[in-house]
Amino acid sequence: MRLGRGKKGVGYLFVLPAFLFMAVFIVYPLVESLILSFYSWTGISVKTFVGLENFRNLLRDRVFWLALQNNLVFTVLSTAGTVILGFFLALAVERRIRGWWFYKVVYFLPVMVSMTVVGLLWGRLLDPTLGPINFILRKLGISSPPFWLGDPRTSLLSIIGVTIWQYAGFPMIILLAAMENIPLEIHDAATIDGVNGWQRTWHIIFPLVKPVFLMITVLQIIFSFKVFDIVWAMTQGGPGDSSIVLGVYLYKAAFRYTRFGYGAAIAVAMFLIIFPLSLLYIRLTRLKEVVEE
Amino acid sequence: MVGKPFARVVTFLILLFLVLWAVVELFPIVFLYMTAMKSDEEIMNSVLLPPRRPTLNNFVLAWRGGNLGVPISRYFLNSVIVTSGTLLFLTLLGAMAGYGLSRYFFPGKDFLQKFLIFALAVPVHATLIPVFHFLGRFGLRNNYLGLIFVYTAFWLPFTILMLYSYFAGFPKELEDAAKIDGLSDLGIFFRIVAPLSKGALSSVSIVNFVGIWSELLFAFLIMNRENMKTITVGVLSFRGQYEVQWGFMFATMAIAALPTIVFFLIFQRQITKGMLLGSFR
Repeated sequence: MRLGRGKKGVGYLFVLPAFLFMAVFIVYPLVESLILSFYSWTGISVKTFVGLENFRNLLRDRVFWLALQNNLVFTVLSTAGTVILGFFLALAVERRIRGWWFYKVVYFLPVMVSMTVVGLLWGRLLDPTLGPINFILRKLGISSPPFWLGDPRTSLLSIIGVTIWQYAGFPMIILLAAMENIPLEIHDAATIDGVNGWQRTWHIIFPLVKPVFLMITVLQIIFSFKVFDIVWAMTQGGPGDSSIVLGVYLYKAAFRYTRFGYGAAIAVAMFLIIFPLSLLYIRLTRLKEVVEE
Repeated sequence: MVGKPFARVVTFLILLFLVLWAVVELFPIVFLYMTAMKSDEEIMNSVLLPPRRPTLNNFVLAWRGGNLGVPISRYFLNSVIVTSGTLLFLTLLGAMAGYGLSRYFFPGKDFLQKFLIFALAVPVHATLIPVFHFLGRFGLRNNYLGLIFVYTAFWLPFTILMLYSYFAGFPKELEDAAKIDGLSDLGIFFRIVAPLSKGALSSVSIVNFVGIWSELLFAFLIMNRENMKTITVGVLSFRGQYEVQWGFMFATMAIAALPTIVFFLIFQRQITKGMLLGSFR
């Protein structure tokens, strides 16, 4: 069906510039990454074809598995932390207790600060000797507080903690919007039926916001696999490789050790993990229906 | 009735929870701005107390660069150039494509729609290495245009989708009237539709701004020459070298964080509404 005006060519005129851009900067590099993953390349030398060598090495690489494991730990803890905390914060704010508006703004504020600044700032806050956190802990009588980022046992957990601090406000604001969308009649009917607060929360509010809950969970999982900034700003993956994640390992392999073929193999692995999750997220958010009406 | 006192206790507990978490969330940010306003001596002597004599010295020093090579003002300027350049380009291309998809039927349109979803789902990591070399080949590394192009491409799928759905709901009657008046298709878009869509275009731009201003990975790779760094990359380079000068470091962080905080306080509604979809990138 034509809308009754314009020639077909005009449509292309409108859409082609944008799609050319995406072809050059998204599709071409993606294909190039895939090809490069079968080569060995230092960036200056000639590329040599090595077949599946990079992937074989990857599967034997202790650091790769460690990074993947850290990504998984990051995923589970940060997702649980932000989503659960966010849900309770949303419930609390939704009560509209005096000052609710202020709390809502305050909880969301850290989401607005770049992860890089948050990471750097928390690096100072958690400084074992000069930082205020350990200063407070010492005042409270803890004579040898943790080394946080300086200790391989606590580095990853510290980063996850900071991530929860920064992002709990995100699910809060989304879930709050979903809760406010629940029709008043439903609440009124429940009140007439003598429903108590507990039942209202778990039998009325929770089931109604469950789809949104699911969406944020998937979004947080995707974010957890993509994570780079906050880890880079806080520890660069250290001490040792204790807090390394795939994104940081990719960066180090390719740009620090100039093993571009190997880095490309890590990139392909990340693509295989993240891409399907992203498609799932797009389905959940119905973004797809935007295009398919 | 047992209800009344019980309800009071519940309300109190909820309030306690709200206040406690607000303290946890606010403390680091307050600490950031407090410390940035202290002298180095005071930072050492009173860790937690507010500054006795608040000073903007650290900010001035950081802004001018002090005894360092590159002042923060340069990083800031780079970020302003890259972000505003991207937003301009992105909004133009995104609006045209979104409008084109919502108004015209042409062979291959189906494919382009599927492609949009595909492009949205591609993680930047999977393109990092080739983009780096590709830009290098064309002299676009340490070049504003290079980063602007990359950002534009990666923010386009989201922008097009948003504007597509907006234009789909835009009244076509206006355009038909303009057509009768003899305007060309491009003329209709640029002179009638676009000016009337300022609200939608700026809403999308506000959400995009937050992400683009804070982007690290590409900026870190592409802008590594000192005078070309964006502010996000710039603050990172103070780590290590100037770790001891807390006042200076905190002032740079405070400056870097300010634009998005201010933006949020002004445009809360647009940002929180667009966040669920916009933060996907």
